[in-house]
Amino acid sequence: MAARPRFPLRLWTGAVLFVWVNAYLWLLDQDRYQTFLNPSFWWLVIAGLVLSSAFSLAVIVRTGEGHERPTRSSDLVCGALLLLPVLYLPSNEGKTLDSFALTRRAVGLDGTDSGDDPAEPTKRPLPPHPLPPRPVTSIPKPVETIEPERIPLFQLREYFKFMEGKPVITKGMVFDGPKVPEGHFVAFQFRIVCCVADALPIAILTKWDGAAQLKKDQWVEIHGVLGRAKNEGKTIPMLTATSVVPIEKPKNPYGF
Amino acid sequence: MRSMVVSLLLVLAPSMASAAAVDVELVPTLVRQGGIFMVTVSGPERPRLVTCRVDGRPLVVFDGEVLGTRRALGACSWDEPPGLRTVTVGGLDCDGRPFERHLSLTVVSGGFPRETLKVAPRMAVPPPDVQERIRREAALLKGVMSTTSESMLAGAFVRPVPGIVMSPFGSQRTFNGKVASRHSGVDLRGAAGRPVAATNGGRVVLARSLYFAGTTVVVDHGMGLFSLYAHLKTLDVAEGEYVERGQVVGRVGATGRVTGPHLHWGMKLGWWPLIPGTKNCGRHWRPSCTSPASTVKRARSCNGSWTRVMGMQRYATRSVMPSRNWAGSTRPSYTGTGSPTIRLPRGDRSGHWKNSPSIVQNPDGSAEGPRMTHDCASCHPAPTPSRALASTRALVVQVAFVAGAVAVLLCLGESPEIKTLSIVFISIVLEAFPFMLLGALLGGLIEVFVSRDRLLGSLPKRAWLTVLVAAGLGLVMPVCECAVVPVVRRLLRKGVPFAAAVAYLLGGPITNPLVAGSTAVAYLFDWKVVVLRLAFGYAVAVGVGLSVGRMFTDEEALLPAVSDEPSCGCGHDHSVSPDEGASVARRFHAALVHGAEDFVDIGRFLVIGAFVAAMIQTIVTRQAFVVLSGQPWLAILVMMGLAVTLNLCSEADAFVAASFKSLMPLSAQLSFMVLGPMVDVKLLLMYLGVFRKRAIIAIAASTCFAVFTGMLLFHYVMAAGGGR
Repeated sequence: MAARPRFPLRLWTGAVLFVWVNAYLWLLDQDRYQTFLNPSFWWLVIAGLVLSSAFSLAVIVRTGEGHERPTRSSDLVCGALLLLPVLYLPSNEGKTLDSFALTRRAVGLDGTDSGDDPAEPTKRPLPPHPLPPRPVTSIPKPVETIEPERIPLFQLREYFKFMEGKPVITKGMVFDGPKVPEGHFVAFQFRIVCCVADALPIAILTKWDGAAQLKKDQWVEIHGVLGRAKNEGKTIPMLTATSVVPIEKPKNPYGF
Repeated sequence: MRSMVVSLLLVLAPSMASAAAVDVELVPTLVRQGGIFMVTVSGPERPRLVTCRVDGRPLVVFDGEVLGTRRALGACSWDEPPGLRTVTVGGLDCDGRPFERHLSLTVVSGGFPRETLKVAPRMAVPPPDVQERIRREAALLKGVMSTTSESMLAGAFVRPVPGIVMSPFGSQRTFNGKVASRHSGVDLRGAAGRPVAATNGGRVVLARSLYFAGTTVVVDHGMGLFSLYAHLKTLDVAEGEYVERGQVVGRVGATGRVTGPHLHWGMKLGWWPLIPGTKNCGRHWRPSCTSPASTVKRARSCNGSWTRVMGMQRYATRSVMPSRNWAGSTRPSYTGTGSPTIRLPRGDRSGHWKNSPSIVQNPDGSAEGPRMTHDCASCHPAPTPSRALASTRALVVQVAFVAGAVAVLLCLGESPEIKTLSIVFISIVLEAFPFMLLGALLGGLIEVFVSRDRLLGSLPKRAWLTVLVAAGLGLVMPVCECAVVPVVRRLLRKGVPFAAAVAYLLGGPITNPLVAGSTAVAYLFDWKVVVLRLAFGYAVAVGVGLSVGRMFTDEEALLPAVSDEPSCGCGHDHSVSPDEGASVARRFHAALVHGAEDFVDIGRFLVIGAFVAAMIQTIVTRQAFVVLSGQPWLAILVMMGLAVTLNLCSEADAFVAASFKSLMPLSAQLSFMVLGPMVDVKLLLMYLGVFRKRAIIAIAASTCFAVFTGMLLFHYVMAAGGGR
């Protein structure tokens, strides 16, 4: 019978995978994974949990009588590398990308332009509107009776044509850079497809007299009217706010 | 009479054994079926008499090169039942005092697979008119291997051809549905006409055409050790000729009972087959192994002091240096007059310790004969000095990386930069890990459930056609770029050609329905973009696969752990695959273990890659890329740089590319979507678990070149045609 090493490699490998099993359980608890992933990718976390559990059990359970390789220093380092993300996990609980990430990811004037010029007529078919188009009637309703529509900030640009000139309520984070005109701030939100690594900032210039009082990265609810403005020779969408109220960070800070 | 006296002495000896001045060493203590081992008896002076038995079956004893040592070599046949054996070493020390030691030897299963081959009917069932020829040739082979010379070994064994192992040692072979034989060597891949090198120095004892083995060369290396090279196209040596290590003895061919050109390389001790190549041994076959000091049993020396003799120290030092081997330094103890040839008695295939009958009497009456060894340690050999240095360097880098990452988290965890870095780092890992786990599981299932023959048999015969098929395999086997790496690693170990594997590695993550779907959604169902992305991805994969396939052989491109035989069968749980007769549950368990190994081995590179990618995303602004993109060629380069640094998943990158629609031409967006799933920071690091560095550089450079030129061409063609 082969001598059993003091600490067989299979136990170390199994332990590393077991830590990941617990990490996946922690992520599923209270939907913590949504800090990093699109909520519709919950199955990815489940898949990770199931597979890492299966691998962990498979390497720990010994079926043969073969010789066992002891754990070497290289194996320890390999395991430490795999455990590194787990070490980073707790420190990021509940955190989101902020204006720093905006400055790194936005392409355009201080994050205000990250897509097509809304002034240009689009030739592409628009995606289905989440809200039914308002019926066109011969008798226009009085302006004061139009109820503002709640719309995620990341969809403001997408549905600009539907929403232009109409009162809206939206939520976003505050950014105020050196190129942002006085009496304005930039409201922004990140939209992610799979995970935060592919997050794209969606930002809109917002005109509000009390902009100077807002704190950077603060979440606000904006009541205003969607319109356009000229900035450095370019037409960009702009929200003219009637009120800006600081709010708590929403449960899902990202747009999906 | 003399042996009776010796036996009597041995019976009476145990009580006095402690006083004898000999060290007895068994290396290794664990041997695989088909492996070899060595017993060394040493003392201040040469022991007068040494006998060695395994469970009562005698071994043959040689003199060692170091004064005062004697050695016995033993081979474990492929049908020796696994279990514990007792090696009994006895005799008379330099002062004539009897001694006896009992050492434990563990035999583990070889994990030999089964193979199904299809050959011409006349080869599967030889016609009656050649039966006599077959018998005659079998007798001839036994004849030439029944005598041997003094050792002619010169240094470490070399691999005759660099190709990977296509068919491992010990496999049970079924020809046209009938179990015919067991594979007594390894089949190495090699193009017809490729030179075949002698694995070590020796004398050619056979060089002629045989019915089954085709054109064959047998080299006697001395001490009963023979190497055999079969199915050769041509002979470059003649019988009786002495060859040096590495000298060309013939060319790879397809003569005899074969399905295609390859080299059958066999190593034998006398008539009994040994494992010629082992996992991780690279180009050198080492019949020896490390010399664990714990196996050395100390005994009081002749002058009464407790000491290790110089010979043992030298041996221990040499044995951990892979460039040398013990076999090259042993000398048979024949001292009589006349021919120095040692006659090896013929054994029978029913016995277990096959070479145990091969005992000859020394002039002094001691039992002698040749033996070989292979063990678990030779499956996982000590690294060469240069490789050990590189490995140490890599280890230091990895330790520094872990320490740095932990320090960053502890010291700067609250800064916005570190917050962004850590969120992006975690998100990349969390997104990629499940896919990698899935890919690792898929690779494990391929390893266990898909036989090499079935896999290779399903591939087209022509190499270029294989590449064309492999590049589009993602359409039926869709995997993302993180999952494809472990899958490709297993496919390579199964014998899939390097060029085809690269084509699947690059093309698989793009030419698949999931990516087509995500691209369609990102570009608002602009099908032109979808078709262009898939077409360019396929074309680049094919082009790069074909070009790197011409640049490198499998051996040159792949890491030894990937290119050598798939299962070392050393007894480690991680490498023993149950054969086809095992239960599904057992095989599934083996698949999971294989998957876990791959995940751990490649996952670390993913972690490093994800961290580096997150760091780049944190430091570099995308605006900086955009301002550089004034010209089309510059825009393409910029987007290629962005693809390499952002490390996005192939299912998500189209959305990022689409965000550049108003800023970059379509060619630049396509370059981002085509290059990203093929070459990015994390993938380059993950490739380190599969390919050698020069191959990775070639793959990355070829891919970048192909994407750049292809997209630039596309841009100007579109411009000429009036498109954007």
